[in-house]
Amino acid sequence: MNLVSTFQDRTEPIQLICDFTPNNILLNVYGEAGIGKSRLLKEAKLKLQETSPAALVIIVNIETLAHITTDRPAVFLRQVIEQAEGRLNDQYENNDQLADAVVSQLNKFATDTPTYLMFDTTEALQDDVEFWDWVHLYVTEPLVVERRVRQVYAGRIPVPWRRFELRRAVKLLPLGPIAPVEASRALIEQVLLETNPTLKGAETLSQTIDIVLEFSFGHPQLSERLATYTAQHWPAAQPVEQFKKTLCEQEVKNFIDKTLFEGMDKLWIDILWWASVLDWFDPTILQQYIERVMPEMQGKPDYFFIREIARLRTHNTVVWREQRGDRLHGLIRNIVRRCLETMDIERYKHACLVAVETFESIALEFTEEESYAQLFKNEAATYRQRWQSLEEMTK
Amino acid sequence: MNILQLGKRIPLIGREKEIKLLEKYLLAPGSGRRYIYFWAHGGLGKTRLLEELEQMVEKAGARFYFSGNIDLYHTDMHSTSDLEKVIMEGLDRKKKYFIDYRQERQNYELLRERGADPGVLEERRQKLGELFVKGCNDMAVDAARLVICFDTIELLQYESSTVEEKAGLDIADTRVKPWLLDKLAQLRNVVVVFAGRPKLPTPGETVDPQARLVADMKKAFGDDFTEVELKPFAFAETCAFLKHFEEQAGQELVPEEYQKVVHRLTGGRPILLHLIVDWLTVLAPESRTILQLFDQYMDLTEVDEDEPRLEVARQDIERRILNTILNDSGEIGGYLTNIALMPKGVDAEILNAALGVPSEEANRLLESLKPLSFIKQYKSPPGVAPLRGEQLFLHDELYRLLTSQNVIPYLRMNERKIANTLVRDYYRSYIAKLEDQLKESYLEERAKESSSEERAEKSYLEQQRLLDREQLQKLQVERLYYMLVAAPQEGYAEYKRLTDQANRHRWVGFAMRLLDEFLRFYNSTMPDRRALFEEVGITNAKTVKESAWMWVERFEWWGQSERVIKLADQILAEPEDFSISCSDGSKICSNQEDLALMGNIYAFWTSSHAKKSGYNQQIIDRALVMLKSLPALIDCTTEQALARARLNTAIGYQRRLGGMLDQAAGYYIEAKAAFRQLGERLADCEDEYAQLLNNLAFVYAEQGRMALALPLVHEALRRNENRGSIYHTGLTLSTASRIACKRGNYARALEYGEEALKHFRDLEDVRGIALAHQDVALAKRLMAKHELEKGRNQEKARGMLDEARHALEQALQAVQNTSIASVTPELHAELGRVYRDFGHITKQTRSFEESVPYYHQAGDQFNLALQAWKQPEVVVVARADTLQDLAEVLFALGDRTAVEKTIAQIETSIGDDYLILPDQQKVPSKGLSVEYFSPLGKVEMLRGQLAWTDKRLEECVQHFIIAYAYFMHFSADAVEKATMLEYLYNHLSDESLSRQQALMETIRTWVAAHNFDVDVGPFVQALGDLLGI
Repeated sequence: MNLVSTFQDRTEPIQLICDFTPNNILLNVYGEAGIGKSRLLKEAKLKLQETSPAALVIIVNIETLAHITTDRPAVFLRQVIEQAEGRLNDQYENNDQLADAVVSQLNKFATDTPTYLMFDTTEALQDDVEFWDWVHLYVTEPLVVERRVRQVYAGRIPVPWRRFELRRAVKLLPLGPIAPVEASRALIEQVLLETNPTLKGAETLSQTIDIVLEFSFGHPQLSERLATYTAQHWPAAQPVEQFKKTLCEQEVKNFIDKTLFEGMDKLWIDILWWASVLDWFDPTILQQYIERVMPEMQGKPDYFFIREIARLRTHNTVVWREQRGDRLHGLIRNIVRRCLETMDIERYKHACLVAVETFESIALEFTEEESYAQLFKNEAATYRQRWQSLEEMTK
Repeated sequence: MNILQLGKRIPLIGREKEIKLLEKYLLAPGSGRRYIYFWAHGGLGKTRLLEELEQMVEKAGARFYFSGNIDLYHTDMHSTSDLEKVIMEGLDRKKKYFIDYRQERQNYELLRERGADPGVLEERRQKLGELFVKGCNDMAVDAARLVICFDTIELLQYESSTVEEKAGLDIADTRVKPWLLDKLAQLRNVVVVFAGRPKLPTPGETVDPQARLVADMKKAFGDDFTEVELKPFAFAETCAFLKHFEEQAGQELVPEEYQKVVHRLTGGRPILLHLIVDWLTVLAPESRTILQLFDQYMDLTEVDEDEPRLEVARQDIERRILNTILNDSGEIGGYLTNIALMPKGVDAEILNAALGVPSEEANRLLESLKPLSFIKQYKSPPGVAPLRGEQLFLHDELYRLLTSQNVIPYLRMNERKIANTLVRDYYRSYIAKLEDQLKESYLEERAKESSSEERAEKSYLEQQRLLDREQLQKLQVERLYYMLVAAPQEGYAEYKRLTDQANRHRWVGFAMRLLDEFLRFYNSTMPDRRALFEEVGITNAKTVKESAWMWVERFEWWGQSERVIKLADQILAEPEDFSISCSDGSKICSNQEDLALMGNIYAFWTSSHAKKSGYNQQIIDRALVMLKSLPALIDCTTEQALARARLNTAIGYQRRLGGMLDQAAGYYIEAKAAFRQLGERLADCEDEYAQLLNNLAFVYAEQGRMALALPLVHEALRRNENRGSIYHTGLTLSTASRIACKRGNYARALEYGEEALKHFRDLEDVRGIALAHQDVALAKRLMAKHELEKGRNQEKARGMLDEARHALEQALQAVQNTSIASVTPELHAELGRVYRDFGHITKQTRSFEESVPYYHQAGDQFNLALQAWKQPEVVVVARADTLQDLAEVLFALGDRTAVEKTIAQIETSIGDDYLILPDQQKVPSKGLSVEYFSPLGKVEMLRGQLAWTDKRLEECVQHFIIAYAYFMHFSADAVEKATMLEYLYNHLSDESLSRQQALMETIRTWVAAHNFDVDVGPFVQALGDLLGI
């Protein structure tokens, strides 16, 4: 597939990466899983190499360092050197010296050749402050000072920029779903037609776009996957509702488990599926809800939830909003919730009822503190209403 | 950079003026004293300044002594007793001074553990305070300067509540604030530094607490007091502060263009600056937010201080900094949210219990928290039995900020959950374990005999128990906080339960810690705890009136009758002032709910009056109105039943002191029924119940109703022993000894008396010792008398009298120069009886001449007793008895005139209403105090003896019949009846039959012709039967 053709709406960020000015030397792209960060880096690399074949573009996938427990800087430097395809010398005694040498060679190389150092999936080592301190001290900052080598970081949330010089230099670029909706529709249409040209001019083209958009919420990677699947299986042999269900089972669910919830263990993937039903929660509410909906989770200590939710925040899977607590990242939550509702509406309804039960039981704990109990009664009423709508719809 | 250096001891920024002032005071010549109060709003570096002071004292030289920084935040520092200990241990680490204080404190704690008399304990507690001051001043003589330092003193301002203010109780010396103001003002060669923040007035508080605290300090410390407000950093100081960290970090933290706005919006408050620095350097979140928070407010850099937007922006920045810390600090942020809800501190075990964090993980977390500036590490100071090892706390300002600014989502739910978990999974097992340990230790100690080896073991067990109890109480106070959070109603009930327990056991420190904890919680406005209480139905009015009641209760259990009366008078005069509704103007509340409370107040007020000034009918009348206002027992709530029980007990006690034994018994029986109605609650007031049984047994015994007295006194004894109350066991043993005497079982009486003596000696209870000596003496004297009457071994009898005399002399010696000299008249009277009986023996076995000195000595002792009774109107019966004893001695000495005069004195003191004058057909009025009839009966017996001496036999028997009538008025079971029969039989049996027949005939006719108001027939019949006529 021609990536450039399907990536037309990320022009601006690509341009930002490729545009080389001394004031735009350090960029940190961030956004939730699957939003297209990795693709953005690859796209930028293609574009750079297209316009300047000699350009040196090194992309280090930080995730590959995650399983390394000792001397991550050494492995990191090795990857940089390997990707430079012989253009960097690696004969030094220790990491610090080697880093100095790499930086010096990259700076030198960049005097006459566009040189880019990119880091992908930075969230994999988000908590390893020591590693980032080293990288920033020995690599990032010396390169920033010289302002020749362009550096791009990509991850679900920005890396911990603790050094002032770097904080001053870094530009943050949040990457959201493709917007506006027209852009998403255009992307989907393009993929649909490229995959199944017979759809061109078909009356149902608009319907297929709607179907894809209904489940992808404009998430580029998912949009593309769903568009491809839909194009391949259209016209559907089954009724549209059934097609949607199959689409979710075959594609959306996989995408959620493998991409949105990438790297998580099975238990937490299950928890997050259930959690998608909740508008807001916190570790305590989530715990109480999960214990009801997944009885096997009873007896898990609080810290199991506290720690993991804190971790999920650093991965931008869970976001925290003042006073209301946590929720799944908006886009992720919409995708998962819609998928669950479509695949198994009874399960979704059950989850709503359990939410009602959970909030009502919390309210009951505070019945004597009426004003506080009301907060939870209102929450319970919201979920009951949702359940009732679904109930009426399925009758 | 070593991140562990962050946030901890940084060079003091600014504060030059304050340091100079401290230096000046510290190094000033002479032995003057200085008191400085540094106050500032939260997070302005008060604690940091105190840390600097510690350094200054260390540098000043070896003869400068520092108490340590005593932070009133911690549970270890919530009572005056805690403070005395911490200051002493802090100043005198080598234990060279405070020798008397240490010794007395050890004794005091032991005695309290053994359950000594409240009055005795209170006296010793006061003495401890004096010894503390003396210890400090002794040390000050050798020292260059003593420096005592208190932090977080704003908590003193929570000590006061509406009740304390209205009733003037906030000056009670058991409270920390008045203690500090009183004791510290007596010190010499000292610099005392206080640091704290002003407390905002709570609803209903009319005086600004800060102004009041300062005024109180000025009053206490006079011209030696200085008040200094710590200002926030000036801009240059903010820059210096940031520069310090930048140098440490080797990089710029806050760029120059942000410095002004950061200074402006943090208000130069070190705590917020610290948070920013922590955030940037330690917590390692991504950078997009914290400085950007300030971007939108750049235009406020130069605006006037009164610009409205500035305050809004400050609040916004404060909240957002906190949000950022919690939300963007990775894993630590998640835990901080929870740690903020545990203000009693955390350690690995607590984290494990509260959140299920495995201990390895918990330790790792704690290590990662330590470098943060807002984390405080705390260990119990020297001399304080530590509850646990090191704990981590948040800076107290941070607790406030985090829980008051809507930073933590679902705050109430989460704080409640954590509190519930801690109560259930942490405190419960620890507390249960300590409670078991204490019970076992007590049982083990009781099983020990009295060999020297076992005495040492007993002493060890007691010491260990003191430590365990200290720990238990601290844990209970901590748990109380979490219980109040988890469920205000249950927490409040627990507060009342523990307070009741603390008061009953005279654990003054514990009671004050509980009160502090409750008031600090209840008066906290951020979050608003009062609103929480209101929502669960605990209104402010309820807490006010119950607090008033609890103070009455405290004074009652601390044995401070005068204070009970004073406070109760205030409440009863103006119940509405204490939120007790009294719509009918009767000063007896109209509200059903308040009835129990008022009933209890009336009960303690009535019994305190009795203890202070004896019988008073007006007091009884008021108590009876209250009693009648309570529902019938069957319809009473538990609280109302308890009030009934107490009121009946108090009225019964009043009646007893008034000599109305029948009526006293009646009220006591009512009280017993009411106590039994309490069901399980009876266990909480078993001490009162046992005391009631004891009192009832005493009344029955006085009435000669031994069959009723015995089971009651035995039950009282069993209950007191099971409760482990040595003091009350001693009292009951004393009653049992008196009962045994009355039953003629002198050997058993002696055993009980000696056992009581041992208990009171263990308690070093002088009053108890005197009482038990008196019991022993009485038993021995009566044994001797018995020996004599039976004509047995007279030398043995003499020996016993000698022992009785010795016991009484010891008792008199013990009470000499003490405040309990009120028992001396009784001791003199009993000693007089011993001398009198010596006289009798001597007269009988040797000669009248030899007996005369004994009779004179007896007379002297009786006169001493009569002179020593300060309130003759209160001790009518005791005085009458003594006068009667005196008359008997005068009779033995042959001084008829003096005898008649004394007898007349007795009758006058008791009053005509009581007299039986057969010739005038006069009988006693109705409803009189029956106890008064007993001395009149004895007077008539004496008249009978006089008549016998003159060989006027008919007259002799007539007097005995009148005596019988008096005793029957006193009690149908009066033991004297048998004594009289024995006397008459012994004296008449030698008369001829015809003389006896004529005598009996005359008597029968005389009896038939006169009214005695009681049936004297059985006595005449018994006499006739004995004589065989």
